[in-house]
Amino acid sequence: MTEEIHLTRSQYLLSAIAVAAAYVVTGKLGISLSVAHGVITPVWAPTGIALAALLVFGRSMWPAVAAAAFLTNVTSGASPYVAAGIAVGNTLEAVAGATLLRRARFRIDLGRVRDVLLLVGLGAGVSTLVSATNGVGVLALAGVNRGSIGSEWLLWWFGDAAGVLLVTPLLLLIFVNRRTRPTRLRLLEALVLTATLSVACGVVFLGGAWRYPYLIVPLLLWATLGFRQLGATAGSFLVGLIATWGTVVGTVPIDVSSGAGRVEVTQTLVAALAIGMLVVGATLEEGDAAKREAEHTAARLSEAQALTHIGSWESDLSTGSVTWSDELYRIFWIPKATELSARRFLERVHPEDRPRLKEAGRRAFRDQRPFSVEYRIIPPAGGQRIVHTRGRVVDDGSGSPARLVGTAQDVTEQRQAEILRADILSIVSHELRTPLAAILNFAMTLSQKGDELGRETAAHMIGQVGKQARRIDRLLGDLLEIDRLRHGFVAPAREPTDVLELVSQVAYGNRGDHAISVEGEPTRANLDAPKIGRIIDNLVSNAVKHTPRGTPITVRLQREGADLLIAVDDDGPGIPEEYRTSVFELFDRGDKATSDESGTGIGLALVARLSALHGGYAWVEDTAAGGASVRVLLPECVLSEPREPVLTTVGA
Amino acid sequence: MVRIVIADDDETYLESLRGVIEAQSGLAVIGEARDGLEAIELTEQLGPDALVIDPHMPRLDGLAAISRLRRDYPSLCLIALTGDPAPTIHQAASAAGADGVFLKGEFLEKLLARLAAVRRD
Repeated sequence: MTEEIHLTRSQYLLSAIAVAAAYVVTGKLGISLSVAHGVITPVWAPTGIALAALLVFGRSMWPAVAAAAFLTNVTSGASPYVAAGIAVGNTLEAVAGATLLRRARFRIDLGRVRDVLLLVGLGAGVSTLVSATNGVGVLALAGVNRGSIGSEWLLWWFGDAAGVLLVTPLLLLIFVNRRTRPTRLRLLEALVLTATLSVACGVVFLGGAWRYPYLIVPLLLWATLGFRQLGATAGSFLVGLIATWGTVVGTVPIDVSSGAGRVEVTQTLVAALAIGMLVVGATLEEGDAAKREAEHTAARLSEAQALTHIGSWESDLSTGSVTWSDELYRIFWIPKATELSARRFLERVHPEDRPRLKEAGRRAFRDQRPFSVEYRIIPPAGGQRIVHTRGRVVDDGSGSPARLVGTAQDVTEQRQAEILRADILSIVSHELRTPLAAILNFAMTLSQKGDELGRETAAHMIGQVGKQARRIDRLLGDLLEIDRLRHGFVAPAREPTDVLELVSQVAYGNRGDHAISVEGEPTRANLDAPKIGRIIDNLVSNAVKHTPRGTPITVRLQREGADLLIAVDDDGPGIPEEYRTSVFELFDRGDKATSDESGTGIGLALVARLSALHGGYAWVEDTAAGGASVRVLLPECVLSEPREPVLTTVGA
Repeated sequence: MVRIVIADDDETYLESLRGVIEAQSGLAVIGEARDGLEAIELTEQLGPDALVIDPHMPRLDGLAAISRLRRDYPSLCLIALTGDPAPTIHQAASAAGADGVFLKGEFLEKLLARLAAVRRD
């Protein structure tokens, strides 16, 4: 709020003209209301305008102030020399005020009591000394002052100070709130308030009830409570305006000998009211800011808790009251409005874990030591989640326990990940060990009985050793590929590929003892060929692995507009409905850790991930004969026309 | 001659296991099963001295087959042969009634010695 706004050249010129015009108009008005001494008035508004202009637009606005001050005085009967002399003082006053306030890190929204005190002290109190001293001096030198120099100086100083107190804050607040659009209701309230305050001021300062100026205090408080600093400044300004009017027209018959004395009394009253209201407003604004900050902090904390799934709680041991953070309600699946109790909380906890949890709480209380306990909870919809609670006893300062405070975190995903990690090792070991053990068995048989086996059997066994070694190699390749996909962004290296040729190469290389055939037209598509090759390889070997020897397996390639469908159909037993999603999950063994291996494959998980890498997906269907049809759809990859026709020369 | 039925869902492994067992004098593989149900059927049909079975198998898994055969054939030698080093599997196989639990690839000599000893039990 301390920095000024930046103006373009034309904006500067327009602002300068506006500032100068406002200065001249209010100055001429002030002089026309002048009480006794030609250029000395009760509230010298131009001083307030000049200071506000320099605070908002920057000190480079000083020429506008200087020119306006000269113009105002020279057109009001002062000689050019006197007018120039006064203009110098008025300009210096504004520059000094703006400089001092800027140095003191004054905020133009007057949002802190400190800002109000700075404006009163440096703006109204100190900088105005320059103008008053200079002005009275210039008049004395020119020999045009008629009263005592002392009273003249005091009146000048007071007038400028009142200008700063009444006009500057109002202009600053209007500037600060320039983008705020009030609601109709607020506008109505403001209008009613203005009317009431005007009437009250009229009664006091114009209607002769001047002995009861306190009538306006409640109305000013209303303005300040309702509209904060804007209300305080606008209200004070209105009071100052009407009070000045009353003083000038003489309806405030304060019993002092001179008009100047009357002005001083009014000035003091209005200044005191203005300062009082500004301090009240700033105090309220500080409270508002603290409240906003507290709300903001609470919101941030709540957000952090939601992100980390950590909730916090506090239990007052003397009153038994319990406080939960929003996230804690979410963790325990308890609606926020619910009244909390230990029973309500324990209801959520898995019955088997309740005694352990109670014991942990008792021990923490007895030993006064931090505790940490993990337990299961049962959400209303069923299933279970794992929650980790940490807590400690806080004493009341004299050593006796006062509160129990702590956090609770939903650690279900972490625990599942840990179990999965253990599973991965076990599964990888199993998947690798079977072919490795087969190789060992063949090698042992060959070395022990090689001579007796006969040439054909021995050759078959050696062939099997090679095949099992390739199986291990592919498994390691898949694992590395999965790892790459898991640990970073891998973009497919697409290039125009003859997909039918790729499918044929991979599928027939995988034949084993199954009857594999390939169906489809030659198709060119923009794909990462090695990765698509791995997809086909895994689909075919999956079908080979899960169907009896000799089962027919068909690899189909099908164009669907720009999309490409690859399906591997077999005449095996099919995949049961309940496994159709989990077969694509990595190492997902569910609860059947010791049974069936259908979900343990790395192969189909890799197929799903490589498909996703191409923007596609994989799924399972039944074939017409009840076998499994594992399919992959690769969208937007078919190139409209094959550049050269590819012939299907490979047959089963 | 110790008459053995072997059960594993991996065809190639089954073939290699048959080779290694038959290379030993005094041991004969009389049947091969590809799942737990088939293992039970073959045991009932052929009445072997020993069954070597993988606990991980489709249809009826090996563990269930072991506990059922243990109940029906108290004197049958039941050997679990697994590729999974997880102790839980080993404990589960023992609990189901396996006479021995071996890891595929390791302890091959021990497995063969255990099978050779079946007659003397």
